[in-house]
Amino acid sequence: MMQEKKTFMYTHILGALLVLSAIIATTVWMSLGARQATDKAVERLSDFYLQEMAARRSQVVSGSLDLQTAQMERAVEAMSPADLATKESFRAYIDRAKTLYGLELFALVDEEKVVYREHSTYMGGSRYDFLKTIPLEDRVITTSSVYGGKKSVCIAIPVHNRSFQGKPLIACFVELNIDDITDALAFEGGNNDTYFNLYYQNGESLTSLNFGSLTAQENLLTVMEATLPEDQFSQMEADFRRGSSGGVVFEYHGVSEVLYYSPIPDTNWMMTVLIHSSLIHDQLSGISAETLTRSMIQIGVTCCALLIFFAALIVQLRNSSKKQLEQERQNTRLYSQEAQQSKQKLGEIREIATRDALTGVGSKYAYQEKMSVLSGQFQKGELEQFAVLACDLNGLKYINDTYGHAAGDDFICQAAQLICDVYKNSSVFRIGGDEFVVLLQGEDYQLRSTLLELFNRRSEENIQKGTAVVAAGMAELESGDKHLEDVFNRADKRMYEQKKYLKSLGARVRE
Amino acid sequence: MKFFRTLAVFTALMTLLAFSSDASEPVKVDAETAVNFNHVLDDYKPKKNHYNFFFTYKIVHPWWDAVAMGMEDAQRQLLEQGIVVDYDYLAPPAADAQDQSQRLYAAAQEDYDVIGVDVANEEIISPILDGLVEDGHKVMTFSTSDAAPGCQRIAFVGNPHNYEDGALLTEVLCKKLQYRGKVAILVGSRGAPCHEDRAKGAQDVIAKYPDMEVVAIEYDEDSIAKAQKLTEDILSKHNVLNGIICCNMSNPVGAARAVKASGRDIVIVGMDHDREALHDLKDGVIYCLGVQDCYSMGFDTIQVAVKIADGIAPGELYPETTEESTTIIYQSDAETMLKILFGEMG
Repeated sequence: MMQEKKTFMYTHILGALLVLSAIIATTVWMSLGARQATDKAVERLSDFYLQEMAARRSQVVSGSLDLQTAQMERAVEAMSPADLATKESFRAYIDRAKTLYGLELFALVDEEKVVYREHSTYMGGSRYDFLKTIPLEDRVITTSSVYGGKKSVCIAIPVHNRSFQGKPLIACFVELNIDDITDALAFEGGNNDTYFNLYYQNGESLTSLNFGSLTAQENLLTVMEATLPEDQFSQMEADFRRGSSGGVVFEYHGVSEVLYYSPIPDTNWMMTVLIHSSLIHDQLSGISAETLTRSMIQIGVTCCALLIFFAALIVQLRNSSKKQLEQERQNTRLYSQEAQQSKQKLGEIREIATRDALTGVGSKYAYQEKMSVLSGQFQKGELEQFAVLACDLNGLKYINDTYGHAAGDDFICQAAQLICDVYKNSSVFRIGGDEFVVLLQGEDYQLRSTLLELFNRRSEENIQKGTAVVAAGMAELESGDKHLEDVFNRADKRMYEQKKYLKSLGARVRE
Repeated sequence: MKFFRTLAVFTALMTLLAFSSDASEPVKVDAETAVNFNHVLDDYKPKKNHYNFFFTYKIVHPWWDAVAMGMEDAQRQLLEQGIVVDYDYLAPPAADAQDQSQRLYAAAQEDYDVIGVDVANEEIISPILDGLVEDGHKVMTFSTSDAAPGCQRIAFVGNPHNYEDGALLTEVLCKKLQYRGKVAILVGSRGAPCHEDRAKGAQDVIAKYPDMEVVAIEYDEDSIAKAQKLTEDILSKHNVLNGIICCNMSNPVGAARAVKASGRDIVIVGMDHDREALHDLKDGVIYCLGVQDCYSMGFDTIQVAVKIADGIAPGELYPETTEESTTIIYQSDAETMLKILFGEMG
């Protein structure tokens, strides 16, 4: 029964584990599939986003240049003859225009390439590239490396019909801090993983800002030539030359980078956005990890639920088995008690059966059992020294009739006592109302004649005393005996002879 | 001021070290300190809130644009203290002492606190400066060319060791040529003290060595094109030419172009920090260049001008001559210099 239950339990657990494994495998497979799909989707989105970012910032820079141009035009329009009257008034006008129109390092230039600023007048011919192509036809944006390593960006527009100190003014310009413009394009709050920079179409940095792992002094196209596969580099170089947008992924100084570029209209500049690939991958991994974590939580919850279910099942089975075992133990205990009681009762019954209730000597049943055992021994030839003493109580009827059965019983007990006092080492049985048998073996057999003589003398003495007189006849096992009853028959015969003798001495006998 | 004296001493020591070593293995100098871009105004408190200066120099040229950058830095720092410095910083398109004279006379008519001059011609300009001083103007000289000895100008800020610079470059060249060979000398503007002094220093050194000979001395008037043409002419005239000594900024650029075109093996030593010249130095076309600290010249010129305007004579607050350094740089220093001066990365 227990074995069957175990098999049942093991089958269920194995089945449950298989189901659980299938659920986990399916969930993991689905999670991985979802992760790959998410990766692709987010990567595409990131590409689009970064390209848009480059394009938007390109527009911002372009817009900033346009705004500066428009403000310069307004400033020149606002210039009055009074402003041009003296050097002081001219410088005051330039200072005012800077503030009013938000023009950084605003200056005007005359035909001798003398540059006028709010606090200085200096020669610009060797300093500004745009002055090499005067007269200006339209807006000119120039950039150059100046002494000290900084980049100078100038937006110049032609000026007409204005003269200072008799010299026609030919242009005005602003000198921009391109680092500030580029810095302003960065995310608010500072993002150390996304970089913006402006590059010339020849790959030279327009700013003095580092661009990811690239220093400001490094030529982007030179770095890319050494980093990208030939076809990708050719594409990028062509994009820069033509002023087209694009993007590449590359590794530089051990850091994987994603680069997008977009041209700035009316310039030979390229707006570039660079982001560490690790950032994108970290973001993707974060999303995927979140998905996976959710799946794992789902698996975990399912596992826990199943574990709780199986635990409850096992506990229930265990409790059931325990109860059953306890019941069986209880039954065993009861059975054992009953067996003990039965054994005790049997012992009591046996005691009752084998002991004479009145005298305490062996009963007739006990005598028969003993004789059966001895007969077996006799038949096997194992019984050699054996004798039987047949006893009969004289005058019992007279006592019963004269003094009542109680006195008779007492008379019987006196007789039993008499027998037991003499044959202390032998089995004594009461086999009838006034009949006793003593089976002699061992020491009493050796002393049988002495003991018989003693016994007879006491019976004879009891005649005078008026107490129990017992007639006894003894016979030994003889070689010609075929049954033990033969011994008993001889003893019984001799007992009757003794009975007659005792009668002759005055003992009462049955009439 | 102690700083500048220390810098000058350092430069001289470097030079001596350079002379003491094998010319084929030039002494390594600290190119990063050749130009000091990190100036801070000294503790002097200007007496006025507004100053008006006039500066004129030899020729419109990027070299003086570098000086202007230092001036603008000092002007900006003073403005941050609420002190306005207005100035004119003007020059003719070609070196011309007469033009400079006219500019000085015109300036004398204006109300400038200080008139500063990079002397175009010592003989012509020095008397004019004396006249301005006698008329009550405060006059100083700056950059590479001081006035003649005995001129009454108040102070000089710049390079007072042009003769030594020319001599040093020539010594390096001679050592490289193992004191044997024919050399040409290119000079800038005729009469410009700095150029003439360097050329004289060069000639004096060559004269020391009997196996060396100067085969040509030419003036390019601070024009690269002219320097190139002059060199081409010299090369065509002299089949044997071992070296060229260049005394200004345009000389080495023109000389290098001509030498490269000729394919001949000629050692070029020269002055200044022209970007093209630095690339030629990097490529080994030019052997060495003497780089002057133009930025410091400009910065210190404004600081000294303010003190002169306040009526302070040379002494404790500033020296009569504020000496700026010249550093001889070699091929191994070229990349560093290109990075420092022009933000280039090799």
